[in-house]
Amino acid sequence: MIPLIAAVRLGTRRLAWIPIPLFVIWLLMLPFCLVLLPVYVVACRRLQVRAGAGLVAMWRLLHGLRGLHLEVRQGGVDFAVRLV
Amino acid sequence: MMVTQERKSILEMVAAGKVTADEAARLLTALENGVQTAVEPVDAGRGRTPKYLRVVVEQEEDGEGPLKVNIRVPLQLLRAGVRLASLIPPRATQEVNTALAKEGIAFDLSQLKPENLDELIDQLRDLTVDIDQEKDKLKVRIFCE
Repeated sequence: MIPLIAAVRLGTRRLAWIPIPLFVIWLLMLPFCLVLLPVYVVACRRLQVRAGAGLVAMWRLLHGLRGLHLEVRQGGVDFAVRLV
Repeated sequence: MMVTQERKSILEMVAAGKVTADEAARLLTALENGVQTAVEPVDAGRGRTPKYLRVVVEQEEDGEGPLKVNIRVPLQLLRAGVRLASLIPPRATQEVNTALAKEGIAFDLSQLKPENLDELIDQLRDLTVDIDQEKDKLKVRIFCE
């Protein structure tokens, strides 16, 4: 499953996580992806890359992002992102 | 048990005047850190496949206060990356290999196959990179969990 929510924390104090619904972004991107699909297939043929395998690899890449955690803290300022 | 003996020998060296109190403190800290790095990954990773690559950077003072960076990358992402790399066209692979060879890195990108990945990840279980730069008070730690 690809990440559906990104939790972000930003501030000088230990604030609560702010959820960003990534699934809405994926849904909004879907029509564009469908429109760009023929272009992608043609580009893959030109570059001699298997289009299906490329799509699977990209899906796995998105899938792999789930569980990513990034946290930076300096001088009391805290920034953190978590993909769930 | 081993740690207690080493600690005792450090204290004996202080008593004998072979090392100063400061040096002994540093030795004891190094001993504790060494034990942590030696024990943690083994206990945490033995018997199961690591799931995340963890990078922790700590700097005590950087002008704007102490800095701490904590990154946890899922190893699934590494797997996906290798699968994506296996789709690189042969001509591009050759070009990358040539560029790497120019930089003195003898690495064949075509040998990076998903089949070999599980073995690579299995080896990562015991990976621990510790960088302790006293000059900049910087500590970097990379390990799998």
